[in-house]
Amino acid sequence: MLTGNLSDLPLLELLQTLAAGSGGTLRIRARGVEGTVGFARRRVVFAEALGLSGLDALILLTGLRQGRFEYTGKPPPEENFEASLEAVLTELAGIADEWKRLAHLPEDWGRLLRQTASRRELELSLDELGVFADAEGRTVAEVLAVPGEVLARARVLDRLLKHQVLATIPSLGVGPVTLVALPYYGPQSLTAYVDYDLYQRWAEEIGGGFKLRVRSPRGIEASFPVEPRQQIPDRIMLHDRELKKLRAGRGTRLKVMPEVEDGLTKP
Amino acid sequence: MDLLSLNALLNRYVWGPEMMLVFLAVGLYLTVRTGFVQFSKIGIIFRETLGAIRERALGAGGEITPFQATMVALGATMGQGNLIGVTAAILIGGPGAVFWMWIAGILGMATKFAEAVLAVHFRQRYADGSVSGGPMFYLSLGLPRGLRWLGGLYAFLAALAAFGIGNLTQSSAMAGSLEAAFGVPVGLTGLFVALVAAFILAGGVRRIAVFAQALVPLMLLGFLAAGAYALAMHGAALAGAIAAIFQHAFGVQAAAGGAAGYALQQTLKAGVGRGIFSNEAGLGSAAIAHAQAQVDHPVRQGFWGVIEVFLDTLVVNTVMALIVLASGVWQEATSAPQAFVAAWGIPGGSSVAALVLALFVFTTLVSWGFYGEEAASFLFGEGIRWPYRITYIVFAFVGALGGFELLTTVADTLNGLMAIPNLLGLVLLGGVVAGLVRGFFRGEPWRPPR
Repeated sequence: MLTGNLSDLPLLELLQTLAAGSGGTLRIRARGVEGTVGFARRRVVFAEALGLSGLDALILLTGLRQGRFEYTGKPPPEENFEASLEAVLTELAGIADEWKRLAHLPEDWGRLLRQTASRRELELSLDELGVFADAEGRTVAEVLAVPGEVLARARVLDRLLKHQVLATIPSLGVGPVTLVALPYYGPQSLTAYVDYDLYQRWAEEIGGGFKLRVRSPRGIEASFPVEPRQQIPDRIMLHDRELKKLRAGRGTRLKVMPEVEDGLTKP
Repeated sequence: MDLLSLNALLNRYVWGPEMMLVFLAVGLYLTVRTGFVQFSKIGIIFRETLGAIRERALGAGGEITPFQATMVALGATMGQGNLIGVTAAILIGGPGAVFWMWIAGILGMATKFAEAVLAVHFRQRYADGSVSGGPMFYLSLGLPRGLRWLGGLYAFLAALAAFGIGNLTQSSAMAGSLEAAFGVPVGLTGLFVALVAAFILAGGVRRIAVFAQALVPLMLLGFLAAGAYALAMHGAALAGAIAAIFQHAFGVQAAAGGAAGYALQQTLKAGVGRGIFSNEAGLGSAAIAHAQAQVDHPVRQGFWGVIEVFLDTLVVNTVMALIVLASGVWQEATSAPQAFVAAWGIPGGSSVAALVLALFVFTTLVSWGFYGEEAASFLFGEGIRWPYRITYIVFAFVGALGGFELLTTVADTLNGLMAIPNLLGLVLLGGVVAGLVRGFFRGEPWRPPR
């Protein structure tokens, strides 16, 4: 068995190392991505990552700059690809160079993408607009993992991040929950309140301060500082005016996800 | 003075004009203390209640949803008073009585709001998750030490009054009405009422709530549909009926006859009486139901209190009044029950009237069974619940047979007396209500008293 980190041994070099072997399975676990590559008869016979298979999966995994890997001599569970190791190495060499040029992509592909409030004018192509619209609230890995478009989307994402049209924030590993809106009234306030028990659970899982990103059924999103409140299980209390901005009201079911701003990361 | 004379004297006072003035004064006081909540927050009130009607559970404290609690309360308040009572008010006070009924109802909104707020604020939670609340709790927990006995007095009066206003009167009215319209023997009606009430009351507040949630809205919609049909039949006279309410509000009709002062007094008394007593704002009884609501803040349940009065007095009573006025029977009829039946003016009108009345009084009977049981358990503990239920069900049966006028009159007086400790408590706790309203509209969380 061979284990290590892609930050020490990138995939391309790893494949070159493994080329001498007779066969086995390579498993890769990075934030936001899990992948498997299978070898047999000095050929790559299986490749899978984030729903991608074959060359698409290999292209995606080549872009990873960090993540644990583990190689065992066990044969892959099935075969879904057929290419000689040499051909794969040749193909991926050029692709690895391309990945290196995408300097604005974060190393952590588990980070969440957010549309920024940037007022700068930037002309976007149709492809860029597509990625821009698709990115909000998803991880970098999820946005990249589109069959036949991995590298193209990576280029677009890199440009959008470079121009700060998109930004990334750490993912907390806490999934979104659906909470029912309950308005509160009084002086304008941005604070959202959730039930004390839920707040405590999130605080423990996240291990520090967090905000809430709220998405209404109409697709309108906003971020709110959050505080706990007793007696409101399964509810999120938002100021009446903030609810109206979300085009929601009492009883509307809202998707709520905790998020941490950069600088407010997990200790 | 013997007991009967004393009862008659007390009855005159507790349901008389002096007491009406107290009701109005307390309503006005609470309107001011709450910052005219029924006017200034009307949009929020509708959004939070009827606007959120599909939202069944709020999931915090309490045993039933805010909507269910309101339907239990509305089931109790909507009874004969909304039908025959309104008809009688018009026969006595003329069309102008409706105007004063509205005014009293609007002030009553603040009273009911305060009752519901205090009921939730001072309710008691038990280890099994159940709650109890109502005037007996806010009086005994909220008032200064020397006045806390008022809570016990209220519970005593409510536990006994339930047998009259909630039980004998209602089952007797239902049996009489069904016998007259369909020839149903009163004993059969009594048996049916007792059995169904027994089934519902045996399930506790949750079953009562499920029953009320299903039947009360249906009953309301059925009444409004029948009412709309009746009004359509009297369509030509409708505009005149509405105009008459305003024209006669200050005794104009009687002025022509030369007795303006007396007529205005009669109009005021009849109208204000209906506006106060039909929605029970000030009696405190509905607060027992509102206390059960799952709600994060007492003020949010208070909004339902406002809506309860709105539906009872401004919707149901108004529709009934318009039917009576537009039909013209109020000018000829000699008795309210007769006018009530005749007013519908539609084919099978007497059957419709009998069915509407039967439904209204049955929901009253069930809800008051719960009120009485809560009041009795406040006094004697949980062990009293089943004995109380069984007695209540027996009364529901025998009430249909009739012949309990004396008992009913005494219970009626006890019912009126309930208002005295409650109104006193509302005045003394007005500051608590005002503080809760201020806190709610500053976005502050509710902190229940320790």
